[in-house]
Formats: sequence, C-alpha cells, structure tokens
Amino acid sequence: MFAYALRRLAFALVTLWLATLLVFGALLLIPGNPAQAILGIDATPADVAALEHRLGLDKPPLERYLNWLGGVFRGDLGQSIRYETSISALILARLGITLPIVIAALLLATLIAVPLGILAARRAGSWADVAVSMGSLVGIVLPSFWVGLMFIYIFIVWLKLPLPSSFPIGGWKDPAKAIAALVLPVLTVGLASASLLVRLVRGSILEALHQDYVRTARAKGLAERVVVYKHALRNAALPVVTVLGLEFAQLLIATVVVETVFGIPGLGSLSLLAISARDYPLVQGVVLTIATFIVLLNLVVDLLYAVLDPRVSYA
Amino acid sequence: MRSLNAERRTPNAQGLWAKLPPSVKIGGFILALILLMVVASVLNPVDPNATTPNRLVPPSAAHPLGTDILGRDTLARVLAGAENALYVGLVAVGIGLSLGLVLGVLAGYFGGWLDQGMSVLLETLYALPALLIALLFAAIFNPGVTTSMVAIGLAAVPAFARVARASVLSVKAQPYIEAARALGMGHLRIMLRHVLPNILGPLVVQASLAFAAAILAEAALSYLGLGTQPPNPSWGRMLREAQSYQELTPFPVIFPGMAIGLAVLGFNLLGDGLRDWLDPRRRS
Repeated sequence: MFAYALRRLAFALVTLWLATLLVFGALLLIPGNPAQAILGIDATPADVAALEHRLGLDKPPLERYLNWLGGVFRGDLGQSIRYETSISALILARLGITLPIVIAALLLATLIAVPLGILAARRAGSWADVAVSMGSLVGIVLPSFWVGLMFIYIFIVWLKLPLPSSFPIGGWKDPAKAIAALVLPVLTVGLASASLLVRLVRGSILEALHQDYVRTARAKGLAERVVVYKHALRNAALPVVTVLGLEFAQLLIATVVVETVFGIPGLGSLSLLAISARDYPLVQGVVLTIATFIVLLNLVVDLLYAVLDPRVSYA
Repeated sequence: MRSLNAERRTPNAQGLWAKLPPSVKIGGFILALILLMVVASVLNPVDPNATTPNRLVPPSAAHPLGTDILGRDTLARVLAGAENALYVGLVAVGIGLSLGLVLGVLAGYFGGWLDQGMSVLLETLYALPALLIALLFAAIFNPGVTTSMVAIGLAAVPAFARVARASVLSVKAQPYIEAARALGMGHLRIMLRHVLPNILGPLVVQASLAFAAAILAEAALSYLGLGTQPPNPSWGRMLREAQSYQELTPFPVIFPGMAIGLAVLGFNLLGDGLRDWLDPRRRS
C-alpha cells in the first residue's frame, strides 16, 4: 500500500511537471512576437521592447522556464499584464466564487442522484426506472449553457422570481445577494452532474443487489431498508465517491460556460478575459491552476480507493 | 456457390437488424435526421446569413422557426448549423482517432518503455479537459473553427489511445497472432492485417461517443465566442447572439439548443447501444 502510494505520488508529480512544460511550451508557439501581439500593431518599438523586457522575452526560453517554474513553486505565478497585479491573488479571488458553485452543485447532484438512483435500481424496469433513465439522458445531452439560458427565461423572465441576473459588484460582502445570484448557476451545474451520477448510482446499486451478501442479508430476515441502505449502498458507494472526485475536477472547467451565462466573475470568466486581452501569463496561470486541481484530485481519488477497498491489493 | 452465399446473406442482414438494440436503431434514425438537415441546408434557397426587415418574428409559414434580431431565418440557420456541427465533429474525431489509434496500437503492441512513456504523456493530456486545451489554443492562435477543431481533436486522443491499447492487449494474446508471427510476418503487416480489423468495434463505439462530445464542445466554444466566428451559423454561436435579446423572444434560443441536444442524443445512443451490442456479457 505504501509503495503504491509513493508510486502514485511520483506519477502525479511527473504529470504536473509535464503540465508546466506544456503550458509554458504553448507560449513559445505564439506566431510572431508576443509583446507585439499584446500591444497591437500601433505600438512603438520602444513600448514593445519595454514589454519584452518585462515579460523576460529578451532572455533564452530555458532561463525563462526555470524562472517561471521557480515562481510556481513559491506560489508566485507572476504579474498579470491586464490587471497589473499578482496572478496568484487574482486566481485566489476568483476561486472564492467558482469553488462554492462547484461544491454546492456537487452536493445538490448527490442529493438528487443517490435517492433517485436507489429508487430506479430497486424498481428496475418499472415506470419510475424508465422515467429516471429518460430524465438523466435529457440532462446529459442538453448543453448546460442552454439549460442555464432556459432557466433565466423560465425563472426570471417568465415567473419573475426576484433573482439577481448577475453577481453583486461587492462580491461576498453582500452574502444574501451573492447567494441569490448563485442559485440558478448551482441548479444548472448540479442538474447536469446529477444526470451523470444517477446512472452510476443505479448501476452500482443494481450490481450490489445481485451479490451474495445481499441475498444472505435478506435470508437472515433483515428489513429491506436495512439491506438496501446498510449493505448495498455501502458497497455501491465506492465507485460513486470516485466519480464525484473526478467530476469535481471536470466541473472547475465546465463552469466557465455557465459562469458566462449568468455573468459570474469566477475562474472561467477570468480565463476568457485573459484570452481576449492576450494576457498570456494570466492564461498560463489559470490553465496551470486547473490542471493542478485535476491532477491532485485524481491522486486523492486513487489513494482513497486503495484505502477504502480492502479487497484490492496494490503490491 | 455464389447464389448460395447470396441467399444466406439476406436473412442474415435481416436477423442482424432484428438483433440490434433499440438504442442503436433510434440513434441511427436521429443521425439520419441530422444528415437530412445537412441535405436540406444545401438545397435550401434561403440564405442563412441574409438579413431581412422581419425581425424577431415568431414561427410562421414564411419562417417556420421564426427569425432573429437581424431578421435572419432561424430554420435556415439551424440547418446550416447541422452542417457546421458535422464538419467540426468529423475533423475533430478524425484527429483524435488517427493519433490515438497510432499511439494506442504502438503502445499496446510493443509494450515496455514505449508503453510506459506514452501512458505518462497521455495521462498528462487526460488532466487537461477539451475546454482547457481549447482555451489555451485560443489564446495562442486566433480563435476560430480550425483552432477549436484541432483542440477538441487533441483532447480526444487519450481516450482513443486507451481504447486502442486495451483492445490490442487482448488481441495480441490470441493464437492467430502467434500463428502470423510463426509464419514470419512483419510487425507492420501483423498490425494492419490482423490486429487492426479486430479492434475496430471498440473504436467505432469510442468514435460515436467522441462525436457527441465534440459537438457539445464546439457549441460551448462558439457560445464563448472562441469557436465559429460570425456571420457563419453555428448552434453555439446562435445561442450567444440570442442571449442578449432573450427577454424579447425565446425562439432563437430554444431551437439551436434543441438541435444540439438531438445531435448529441443520436451519437450517444448509437455509441452506448453499439457498446452493449458488442459486449458479449450484456448481449441477451
């Protein structure tokens, strides 16, 4: 187990290192002079030279990479060109909005998917099962941003619910307003995740219900409720927890689109702003942050799997 | 001899159709519908980019799906969007399939350090979702259809490589590969003649699912303004434009979204159904 954990950790570190190479190397692919691209064609040669110096473009790529990597290790992702502040501080502030959306959406997804998945599995083949499957399919095929747009139309335009149509300028200083602004985004992201999750819960529970230990539990006269919740659900929880972890990482990037629908200044809109302003260091920072989250979550999920499942040995 | 074969083939074809799971049939039907939309778009005399004074008209006989804020016919634009979605999907899946196939087959067939090195590389790519790669690409090159197609295609490579590698590993253990090797066949010939035909099934399944993902990703990128550029019609782009006047009329939002859902549903059903059908454990 210990050896497995070490190997898995080493693998994650190599993956992260490759990700920094990729993110940094991508910048070398920019056609022409990046400083010129940032400033536009009207910029004077003196301005271009000044920005080149600020970005360190007058140094060889290897030196730039090592400097940047050294900063990354210290948690310093450099300075944003557009905002002229620390990129790490910018990203942290935006994570303060994106992370609550992702966490609340996953909670909502679990609260919807687990009971519905159990119901569908216990009555496999019934109309309830068919309805859950159909609903999940609809949730999977419809793009989340379209669902978000429809929610705006239904809840704000049509039903005239008093929900703000964008995030308050002051951010979390006005918690009630901020939370109200996040209701529809969380609903949109949560329902999409629930659609994926419910299929998995149904499948896992259905498989667990066909196992010998469930038959034994029933044979010794346990109540069906105890059989389902104590025996089947516990064993079905493992794959569900795994997918929740992976889904967390995916949602960080998937919320980009939903943030745009609802005008929320999270990590996603920061990356879009960075792209349109050609703020390359900021783009690097955002992409590396998300990739790091994904690699770390994958690592945690893999290690949890090994701890939670005593049947699997990782010699 | 020939007539005997022909007679035998007909009932087989019918039997095959009867054995196909309903999801494959429904998926195939939906995809036929999408293809029909492409044909209709090519034959359609209405220019999807032509502006008219009839702005924000609800569905009527002249404009079956209504018009947008520039008076453009929504039906013509939705049909042209099908063309765009299939084009992007084909190119992206083509990139993902060809690169993933080569990497996966080489890794699975030769194993060893090649396999290990490649799996680390692919695992890194796996850590970067399609949207993230597309954002990176859009920052470096100019945002547009080509950039997004390449990004979506590259993001699909690890999944194809994984499927190809796993299938090659199981095929490699078969006696007919050993027989081919004993006959003195070269590696390339074994891979092309004996390995490739036997791993096509899982790859077709993956291609169908990747197509659905590509259509969704293209729509999302175009919605963000990083994919198809105006005035070209793309389902995602239409949603981006319609969002600003959504309070005035819901129709320009409703129809492109339904088109995306339909196309994604078709490819998902086809992929899922084919997987069930190819999986001997699930076949009943």
